[in-house]
This record gives sequence, C-alpha cells and structure tokens, in this order.
Amino acid sequence: MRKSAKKPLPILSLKRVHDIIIGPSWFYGDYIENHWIIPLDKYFDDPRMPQWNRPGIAPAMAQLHQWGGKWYGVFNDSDTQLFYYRKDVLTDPKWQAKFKAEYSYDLPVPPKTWQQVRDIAKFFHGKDWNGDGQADNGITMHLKVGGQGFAHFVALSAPFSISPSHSGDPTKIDRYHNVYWFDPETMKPLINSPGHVRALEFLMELSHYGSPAMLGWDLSTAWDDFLTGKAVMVFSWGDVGSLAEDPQRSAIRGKLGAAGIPCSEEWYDLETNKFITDAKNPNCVGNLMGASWHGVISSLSKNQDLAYHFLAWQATEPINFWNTAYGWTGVNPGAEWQFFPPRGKATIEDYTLAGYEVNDVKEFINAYEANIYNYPIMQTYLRIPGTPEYWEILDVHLSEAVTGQSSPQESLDRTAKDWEGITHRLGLENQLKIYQQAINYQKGAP
Amino acid sequence: MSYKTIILLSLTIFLLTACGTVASIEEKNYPGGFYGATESEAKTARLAADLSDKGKPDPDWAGKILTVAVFSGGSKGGISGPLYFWRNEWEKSTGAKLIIIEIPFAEVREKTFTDFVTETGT
Repeated sequence: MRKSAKKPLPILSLKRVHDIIIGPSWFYGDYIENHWIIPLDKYFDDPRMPQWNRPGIAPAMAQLHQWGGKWYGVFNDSDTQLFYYRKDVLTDPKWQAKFKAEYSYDLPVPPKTWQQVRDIAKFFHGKDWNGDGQADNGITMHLKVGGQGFAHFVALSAPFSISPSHSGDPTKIDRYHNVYWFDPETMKPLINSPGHVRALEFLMELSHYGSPAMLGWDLSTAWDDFLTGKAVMVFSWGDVGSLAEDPQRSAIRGKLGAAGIPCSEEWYDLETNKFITDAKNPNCVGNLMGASWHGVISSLSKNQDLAYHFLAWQATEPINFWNTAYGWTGVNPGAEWQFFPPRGKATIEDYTLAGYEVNDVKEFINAYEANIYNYPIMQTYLRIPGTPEYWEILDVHLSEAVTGQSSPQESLDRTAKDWEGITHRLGLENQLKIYQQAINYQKGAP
Repeated sequence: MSYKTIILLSLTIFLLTACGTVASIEEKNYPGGFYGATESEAKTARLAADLSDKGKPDPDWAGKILTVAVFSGGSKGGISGPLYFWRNEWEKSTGAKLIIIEIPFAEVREKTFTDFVTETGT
C-alpha cells in the first residue's frame, strides 16, 4: 500500500505559490533577471527522477530551455512557423500548365521562396479552384490586432532582414549578422531597417491575395479558411498540421502539403547597407516563433523536487511522443523521437494510430523537422524583460500599416521609437546586457 | 434482527453502493485511468505510461500538493489538456496531488508574474 492512501493532505495555505509555471519561452528574461526560477542541472543524475533525453532535442529548441549554460526549462512543446499548402491543387496538371503559361516558370511544389509564394497566391486568388462555383482565396493570414498577427511578420521578415555571417560559420552572431531585434552593441532597434520595411511591404502585397476580411481575422478564423478548403496556402504553427486531421473542422484531410518557411530572393545586409538579390541562392532563415510552452520551477516553491519529477516524467520520450501524436494536446514536435528516420525513430504507424492520414503526417512532420534542423541560420528568439510589451507595440503598429493608416516605413519607425521608450524605461544598460546573454552575443569574439 | 444489526447492514449497503458509484464515476471520467480518454487513447496511453521512466519517487512526496499554472486550453485542449490527462497516473506513482490552475492567454504574464512578486497563488 502506498503511503498516500493513509497520509492526510495538508490544508491549502492562503499563501500558496505556483510550484510550476508552464509558460512561454519569452518569459525567460524576466524569470532570470528576477531570480524567479531555479536551474535544474542538479536533478539530472538524481535516481528519484525520470530520465529524459536532452541531447535528442533539436539544438535550437534546447537553447530556449537554457540560460548561461544551465537548464531552467523542461522540454515539452516546440513552436515554429511553417508553410502549408494544398498539395492536390498545386500538383494538378491543369493548374500547373496555366501557371506556367502566365508566369513562364514551372509551378514549384512546394514553393521555396516568398517571391514564389506571392506568384502562386496571386495566380490562384479569385479563381474557383475548389469547384464550388465561387471565387476562392490564394492565401490566408490572421491580421487582427491582438490576434497574434505579428507572428506572420516576424517569420516572413526574417529572411528579408537577417544575413548570415561571412566568417566561415554562417551562424556566428556579430553586430551585423544573425541579428533581427536590436543592435547588440547599442540596443538600437533594428525593426525599421530597410530589410524589415521591405518585408512589411511584401506582406501587405501578399494580403491582397486573400480574403479582405483577413484584416479582422484572429488565428482560428484564418486557419479555418485553409482547413475548409477556401485558401490555397497558409503559414502558421503546428496546429494547422494536426487540425487538418480533425473531421469536425477540416475538409482537406489527405490533401495537405507542408514545407519549411520560405526563403527570400532579396535581403538586406546591415554591414554593407545594401540589398542583395539572388534568386538562385535565396536567403533561408529558420524560426522558433511561438511560445514553445514548457515548465519551469518557481524559486519560491517548497516542492521543487516533486515539481521536477512531474515535468521530467512528462518529458520522457513515451509520454512526450504520445502528447505530440494527439493533436488536441497542442504539443508540437521538436526532438528526434518525434521525427522519422534517418534523424528520428518515429514511424508512420505511430502517428496513424493516433488518427493521422499517411500523406498528411509525412508532410507535416518532415516539414517541421526541416524548419527546426535544416536551415543554415536561425532567427534569434526575443526573451528579454518586457518582450510581451515590445511585441504588443509591434502588433499595433503593424496593424496601422496593413489597414492603410500609415506606410510600412512610418509604422516600423513608430515601432522603433516606442521600443526605445520601453528599453529606456526598463534600463538601457541592463536590457542590453540581458539581450546579449539571450542571443549568446559575445562582443569581439573571434 | 436486532436494531444494531439493521444499522450495520444499512451502513454496509450504503458504503458498498457509494464505493460502486465512485468506481463507476472513476471509470466514466478516467477510461483506462486517463482523464477523458477515448478507447484508442487509453490503449496507447497505457503503453506509453508503462514504457516511461518514472524514476524512484521519494516516499516523502506522498500527500504533498503540487500546483501548476498553465495557459488555459481546457481539460481536453492545448497545453493544459495533457496535465489533466496524465494527472491520475502521476498521482498514483508519487502519492502526491496535482492542482492545475488554468490562466487565459491574455492574463498569463500578469498572473504568473504577480505570483512571483507577491508570493501568492493568483
């Protein structure tokens, strides 16, 4: 008999704190700065604790659970924005012939660049490609203020505004390369750089090839435009891949195509202050845009050991894989046990048992893997104090641009100005120090 | 039949009925031991739970209460749903209790940060 059957439960204290927070990765700056959470490395060899496979986690994703070389978070969910399309429509010979006649190149399946995505969206928008007698949409986005629409811009703008290092290691972060949010020397916002502005202009053009109602759509409404077969393409989180299998919500089961987030044929180099254009060798930047919800342990908790046990058990391969296989959990893949060979060890049957259609799960899981592992460089993740506030400001000013209240340049200039205000209010010197830590920037490092 | 015997018999019948009711509620809400599971989910979850490393839970954890604050997706929804699903299994292995505090997306920052600052569960 276990002791729990006889031992009375303690009376709930009015001063009980949360032992565990399962929160977004962008809270880390606040967590660390205020010493609100504890490092977890001391538990890794504790025989009381379940063992979970840290080396098996995608390196970029593992970084989000660490700070200063120590683990603070326990793996759970992995977010990235990837690209979805209607495979049946884009591979239809009738549409392929018409596209080639109009654009003088083969319809790429999947499209590799945002410029190709634009052509495809423009081509299909307004045509009755689903045969319901009505004009359909090329692309769908969620552009409502407060509807997480800024995530579209962040993912799309990365390959327009980030350039790889020329040092021999393309991932090396210096003042001009692999930076997206702020100048790591001065904390001056980069959000209104020419690359970011060009990306916003591009996003606004792309928005013309979908329903005009997109300006008021939240996440779920935008997804439904794709899931109900009204839009050819969408770029968003992993939820779309699992929702496509839900018979209550999806009309596209078995027709899903998915790929890594597109690259850009033009991008801005902060060092030379010039745009580079190269359609044959586009600039490809992976992203971890999203919360990647995972557990951390409060430094105020009186049950830290117990808290770690729960989180570690959830992170074990069998439990974490189960959560990934059942889409309703909202847990998305980011470790080798969730991907197919040769990198991973999951099987198609593992997923079809949970309700996936064979084509769809191959598309979805392989695209996810590509997005997290296969890009030459990754967009840095913003996790400094005030991150939610910086993002809310960006969200509001982006909306001003897409609704025509201001130009892309004006919108992003206002964002930069407001960001500087937040930075100074929170303390420039400290924000800069934490930003450098957060993106692993080392001044003058070889 | 004495008065005492009647009372004892009544009490016994009541307890057996109550236990049966509890058992049926348990089976209804926790198919296979997993909250809200479908038949297929219960089967695959049992396999996953049996394969998972559970460590060697400290006997002193029995009876403790663990509180988790999580983005509110509901008991069968995103991110919070798995906590409900696996809670029963984890409580059985550790003897501890898991309390799930759901917080709407827009309030996650305010409520969790306030918790840290004021040292109160909000």
